[in-house]
Amino acid sequence: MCGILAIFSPDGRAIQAQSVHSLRELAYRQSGKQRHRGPDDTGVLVIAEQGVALVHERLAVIGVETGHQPLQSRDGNISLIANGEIYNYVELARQIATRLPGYQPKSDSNVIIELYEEHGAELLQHIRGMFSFVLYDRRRRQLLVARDPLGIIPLYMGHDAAGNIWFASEMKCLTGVCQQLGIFPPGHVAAGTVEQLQQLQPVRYYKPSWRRVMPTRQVQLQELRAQLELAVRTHLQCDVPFGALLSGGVDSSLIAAIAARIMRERNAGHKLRTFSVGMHGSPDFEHAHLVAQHIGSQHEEIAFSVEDCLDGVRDLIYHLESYDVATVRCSLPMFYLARHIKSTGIKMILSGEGADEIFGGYLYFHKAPNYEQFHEEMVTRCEQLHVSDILRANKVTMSKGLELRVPFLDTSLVDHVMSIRPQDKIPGPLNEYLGQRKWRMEKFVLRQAFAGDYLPDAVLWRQKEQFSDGVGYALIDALPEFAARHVSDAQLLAAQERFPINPPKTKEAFYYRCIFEEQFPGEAAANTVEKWAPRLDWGCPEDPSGRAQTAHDQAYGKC
Amino acid sequence: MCGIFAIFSSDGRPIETQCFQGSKHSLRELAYRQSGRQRHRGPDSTGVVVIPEQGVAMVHERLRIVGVEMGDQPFVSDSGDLVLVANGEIYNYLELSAQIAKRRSGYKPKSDCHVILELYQDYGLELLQHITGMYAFALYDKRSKELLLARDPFGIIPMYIGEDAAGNVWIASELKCLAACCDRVETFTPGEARFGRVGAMRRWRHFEQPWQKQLPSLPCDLSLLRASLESAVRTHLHCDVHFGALLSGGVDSSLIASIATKIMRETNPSYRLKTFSVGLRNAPDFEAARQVAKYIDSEHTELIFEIDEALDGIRDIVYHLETYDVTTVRCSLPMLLLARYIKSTGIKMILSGEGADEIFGGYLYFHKAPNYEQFHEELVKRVQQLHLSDCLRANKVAMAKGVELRVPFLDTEFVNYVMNIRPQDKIPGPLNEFKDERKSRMEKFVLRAAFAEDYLPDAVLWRQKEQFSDGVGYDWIDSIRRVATSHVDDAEFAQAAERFPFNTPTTKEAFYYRCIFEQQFPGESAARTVVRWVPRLDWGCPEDPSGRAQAVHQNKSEQ
Repeated sequence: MCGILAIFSPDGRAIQAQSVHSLRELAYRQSGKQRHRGPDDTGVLVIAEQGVALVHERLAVIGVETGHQPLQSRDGNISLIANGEIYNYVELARQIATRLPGYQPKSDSNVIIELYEEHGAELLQHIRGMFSFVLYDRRRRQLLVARDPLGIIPLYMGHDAAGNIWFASEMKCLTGVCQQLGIFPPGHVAAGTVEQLQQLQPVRYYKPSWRRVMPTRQVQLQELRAQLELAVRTHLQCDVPFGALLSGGVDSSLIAAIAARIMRERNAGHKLRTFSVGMHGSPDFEHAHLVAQHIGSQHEEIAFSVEDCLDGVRDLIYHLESYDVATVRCSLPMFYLARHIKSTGIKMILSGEGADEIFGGYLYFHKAPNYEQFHEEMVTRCEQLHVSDILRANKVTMSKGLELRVPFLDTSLVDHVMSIRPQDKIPGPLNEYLGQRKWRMEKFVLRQAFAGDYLPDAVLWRQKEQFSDGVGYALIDALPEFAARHVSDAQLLAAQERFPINPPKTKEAFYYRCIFEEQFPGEAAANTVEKWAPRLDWGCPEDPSGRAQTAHDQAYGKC
Repeated sequence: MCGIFAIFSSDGRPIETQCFQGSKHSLRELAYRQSGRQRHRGPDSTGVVVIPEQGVAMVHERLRIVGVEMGDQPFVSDSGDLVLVANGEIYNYLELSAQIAKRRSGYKPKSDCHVILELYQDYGLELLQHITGMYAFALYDKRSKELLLARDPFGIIPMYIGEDAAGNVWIASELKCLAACCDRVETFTPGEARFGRVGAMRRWRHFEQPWQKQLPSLPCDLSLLRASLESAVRTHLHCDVHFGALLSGGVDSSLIASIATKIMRETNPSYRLKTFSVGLRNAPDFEAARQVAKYIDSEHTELIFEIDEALDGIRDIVYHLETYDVTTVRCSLPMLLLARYIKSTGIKMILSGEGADEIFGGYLYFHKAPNYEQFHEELVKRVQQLHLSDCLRANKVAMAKGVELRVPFLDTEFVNYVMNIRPQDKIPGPLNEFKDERKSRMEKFVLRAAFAEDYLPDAVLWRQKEQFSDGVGYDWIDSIRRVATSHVDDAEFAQAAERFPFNTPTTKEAFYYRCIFEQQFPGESAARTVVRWVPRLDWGCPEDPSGRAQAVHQNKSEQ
């Protein structure tokens, strides 16, 4: 994974030097703010006479020796900076080779150039993976910018005072130079010639039917299992050392279990490296340990203290570019863990994000009043993933130069699971799996599909805990107290005036917001953040921690 | 290697929460945040100890090299009274811990630096006579509120000391941690120690040698010289992680790589050292490095860079180096690219050849030394200034990317041996009297002669010195001078003496670096930490420090 930055002049003419900075210097300096995303190498391409600068910060994971970017087409007309992984690149490269004999992709992203030459913007119907990219065709003076269906890879867009258009993987590159900025929406593409740049609008290219229509297909457990296995398999393409997270919950455990099996097909002696994080004595360690034993992984437990996590709050908000309370809380242990994993030499890590969104795993889904609302809520959750769980997953790991991969969010798998009828997925008494109405646990079909010897039963059927609770209640209790030391009652009372957009309601939220504003001033930046909260209209308390939801205790009783 | 940081209150009482850059910071938060500016030195973990009631905060940023699992700092003594943060490597720690174990059975050091804590309890301040290595540390004794600060003899490891407006004392490995907080900052003198309570600290030189004051008379013994360097390399190979060696193509780094290979092959006959070179395409250094790599059968990588790519880093390198010295900036940029590349391969430690030119008199301008006395005095001065030029560069550039650089030529015992050799044997040119036979000899003749047999190909062993920045390709110096110069107009430059009364830049290139430095490190006391590297003008040397500018080089090249 990597970081990308691009600057385009509004009219395709040269951009004049700003104060002491040439265009190249400006681009390199601003991209430097996301250099943690690409610790291995920086590549810069400036087409001065057309006012174009492309910068790529690289973490070399596939095609270590040949994958330096910006990539160029053979005739030199097309330049590409891409962040992410194209999981079906081997297959695509084979197709390309039938047209261009001897074609060998320099890395997974390389296929984007060839596909563009053949299909133009339609190339997005061919590639599968997590990505954001900027492609520039200097002969046609055209650009093409796109982001993956669910926004696993971040992308921001902005305009500076001179009307130049900027794109960057992280907002921090645009802060201070762009007057206007915003999120480039997931599943969208923006294409146009440089003359039309002012009107450039992202349009949706990812339009699965489940977004609009209630699905009716019954779940097929075998197929579900095969689909997830296939997703994990494609996510294992990697030329450097990798590992997997074990949170102790069913989602990450399943990914690790499947990955361990696939790796053993290739090498019977392979031991997957797995990692858990928690406070000393966390219940998650025990579960993760069970899984590690079961799948025979080389397992490491990283224990932290409350203070270790509190130290990181300021840096974390800078990296996350969010002030959402749930996101900040969930990220602190990960932030600590990512640094440790990086220090072991591992560059890529598998994780379980996304299962809760596509299967309806959050505890508050127990309160869904009917199938329609249940499905619609999942659709909303999926569409908000890019401002919550995957924003966190991506930016926290990339802050330490570690790539996180999330097989549950493989596009084919998401389409498959989101096309299952809600009757089979809804947790609680409304569940009608196999036409039999019965109280069932959240993510029942996922668990059932992997019953057998993938995981120990104690983990397979374990109740969901929000990551932030799973790592220790002491931290969740300490955070509001810690934040309160920084915020007076009077300040909180005036919150509405100081922060008219999304005004913080607690001292904790206020404190995060202050740190955010210090680093990302302005309304536009504040507007990029969305708050993660359960459905208040379903009678859920606002506190986003899983513990506050009543189904938790009930469910423990039932399992 | 690592980064250390500490704050000690002026009176041993608590340091209250204060407003810093717009928000409230407790002592711990302030310490963690400021130490964060050198977190690149310790990418693997951060450790914090705060003694709030005494106004003490100590932070350690760790790169795990020796004692990977156990060595997280700060170290606290068993009684809880002593706290230590140390950066560096104690090369004789195994020997020292064996001695400690005799007094306290079962003693096992947690890492090399851990012995400092034990030795302090046994010997007090005399501990500095027992440890050899490269280090900087701060040790605090809670009972007496006394602190001990010390830095290695030649300043291989950086350390700065400052004082804020309230009179609190700050210590950091890099100046950038002190920049916004201290009114006064200075370089902590190498070979010096300070002890006592804040405000009443005693300073003394813990490293005093006869060669610093008087002209040595010992004739050179080549076999002893060889054994002595071999033993230095051996101690520098303690390392629990992947390591490699630089090959600049000159005799110094080549010898280190060759000796290291021989030592590693004692235990593993098929061992292949990983070696690295950097340069522009067709750089003169590449060919020589390739010959060495072939000769010692190393796994060799050549990193070819483009001029633009290296120029991109000018601003970053001034920030990391914390200097505006022209020579240091010029030769550090290719090294910065190389350090980043090396880090991306998973290597954490690298051996290099710094220091040989200072102790043997290898710089070309030494050919102009008028007599033995002045030659020796100049060597002494160069050694004393190493921490402002080559050591500073070597350490900070490598650590900018979290790579530890080790310099066996600067092993304390080895330096003492070489600096005790009479100047008659070392002086280059017609004054040389090795074995009492007056004859014009090459610079570093005794070093080369000591390793005449099967260490290196003759073409490298007897190769003329090139300054590193010339060796990467002659275009490099011209390009960087041109680009830096282009940023400064005549009117600005005319004001140089007014704008920078201290160390006024005399060229536009120097002016440009100085401006970048001042933006990042404002204030006169920061500017005073820098000393310019220039050959002896009174010996008739041109001021331009590039090796090529020295007449000897041209003469030799013509031959």
